[in-house]
Amino acid sequence: MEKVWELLPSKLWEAVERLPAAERERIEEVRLRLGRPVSVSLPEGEHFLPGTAADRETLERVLERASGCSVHTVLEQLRNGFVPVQGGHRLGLCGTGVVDNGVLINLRTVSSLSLRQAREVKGIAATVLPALFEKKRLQNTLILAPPGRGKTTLLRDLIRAVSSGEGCPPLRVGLADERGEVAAVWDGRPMLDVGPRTDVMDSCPKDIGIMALLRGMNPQVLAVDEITRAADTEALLQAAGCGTALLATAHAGCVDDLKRRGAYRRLVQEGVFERFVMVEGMGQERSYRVMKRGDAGC
Amino acid sequence: MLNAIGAVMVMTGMVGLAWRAVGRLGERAELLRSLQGAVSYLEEEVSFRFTPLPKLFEHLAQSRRGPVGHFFQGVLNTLAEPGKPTLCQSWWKAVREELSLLRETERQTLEELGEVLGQYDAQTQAKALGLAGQRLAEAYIEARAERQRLGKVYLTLGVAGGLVTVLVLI
Repeated sequence: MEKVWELLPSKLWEAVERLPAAERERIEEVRLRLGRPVSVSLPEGEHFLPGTAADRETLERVLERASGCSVHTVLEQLRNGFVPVQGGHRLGLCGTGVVDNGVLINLRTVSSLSLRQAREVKGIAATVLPALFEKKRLQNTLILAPPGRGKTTLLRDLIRAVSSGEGCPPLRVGLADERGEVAAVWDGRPMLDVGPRTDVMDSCPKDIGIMALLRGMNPQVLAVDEITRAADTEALLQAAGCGTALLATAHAGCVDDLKRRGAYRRLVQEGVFERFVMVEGMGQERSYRVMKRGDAGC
Repeated sequence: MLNAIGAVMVMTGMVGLAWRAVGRLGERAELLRSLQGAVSYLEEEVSFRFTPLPKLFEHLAQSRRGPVGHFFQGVLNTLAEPGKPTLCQSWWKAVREELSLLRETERQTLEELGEVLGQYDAQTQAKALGLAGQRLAEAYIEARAERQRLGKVYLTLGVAGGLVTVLVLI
C-alpha cells in the first residue's frame, strides 16, 4: 500500500485525492475523529477536508482494514495504541479504554484514528556516517532528539547504508524492531529499505530480540529504536560486551537528559556509547550534530 | 416398438431424477464435511499461529475443491471490491451465493461465525470456530444418515413412479 489513505472508504479517499498533487505528496497524517471532519496534517499544520465527516462505521471499517481483517494479529500493538499497516505506515488510535489489573487490554469505543504516512529518506546517513567510524570501526552510536524529530528515519538510513556498504565496508546488521517502525516488516519482508544484509526481529520485546539476534544471527552491528526499559539497557550492555557495534535511539533533548533517566544512566556511566548524534531543527531546517563521548560530557 | 422406446425413456427419466436427488443428498453431506474441515483448519491456525485470516482464506480457496474453495474465493473477491465491504459482509455474501446446498440452520451457523471472525482475540475466535465446527460435524452426521435413509426411498420412488407413469400412458 503506497498511500495510507487507501484504507479510507471511497468517499473520503476521493476527498484526499482531490487535494493538489503537491499537497498530497507532503501529507504526513490523515486524522479521523468521530463526528468531525477528516483532517490532513502537512508540515505547516492540520487542515480539515470540507464536506467530510467520520462516523462510527467508518472508524470501525478503517481499523478492520488496517488490521488486515485480523485483530488477533495486532492485539498486542493495539493495546499500545497503534496498528502497523502494510507499506510501513502506522495507524494510531484512541478511545474508551478497557483496563484489567491496571493494564489496557482493549478499546471499547474508538473515537479517533491517525493514519501516519510512512516516509523513508535515503541519503541522510551520508552526512554523519564518516564521523561514526574510527580506525575503520563503527563506534557505538546513540541518536538523540525529542519525539517526532526524525530519529527513526536517521536510524533506518544508517542501517541501510551500513548494510549496503555505502560509504563504509558492508556490515551484517541485526535489528530489534519491537514496534515495527524501522523496517515495517509485512509477511516476513521489510517494507522499508534497511539494506540487504539486515536481519530483523519484528514485534518482539527489544531485550528478547537483542539476545535472539546475538545468539542466532551473528550480527556485526546491532540496531534498536528507542531504549525505554531497564531490560533494554541490560541487553545492550551484554551486546556491548560481545564486541558488536551498537546503533540506538533515545528520546532526549540533550546528553544531560540521559544522565537524569534511569534506563540510560547506566549506559552513560559505563561509557557504552562513543558517539552521540543530536537531531536538531525540523523539516527543511533539520541538521545532525555528531559528538564524541568526551565532547558530550559523558 | 414406439411404446417400448417411450417406456424406456420415461423410466430412465424418473430413475435419473431419483439419482439426482440422491446425488444432492450426497453433495450436501460432502459439503458439510469439507466445511467442517476448513473451519477446523481455521481454528488451529488462528489459535496457534495467529495467522491473518485473508492468508488462511487464500490457502483454502486454492486447496479445497468445489463449493468450499469457491466460498473462500468469493469472500476474498468481495473483500477486494472498491467499496471496501467488511469481512462480515463479504462472508455473508459468499454464504448466500456459494453454499446453496446448506439448510437454514447451517447457513445461520456460518453467518454467526462471520460476525466474530477477525473482530476479537485469537481465543475468542477459536472458541467460535470450534463451536461452528462442532455444529457442522453434527449436521454432517445427520446428512450422511439422511443420505442412507432417503437414498433408498428416492430410488424406489423413482422406479415405482416410472412404472406407474408407463402403465398410465400405455
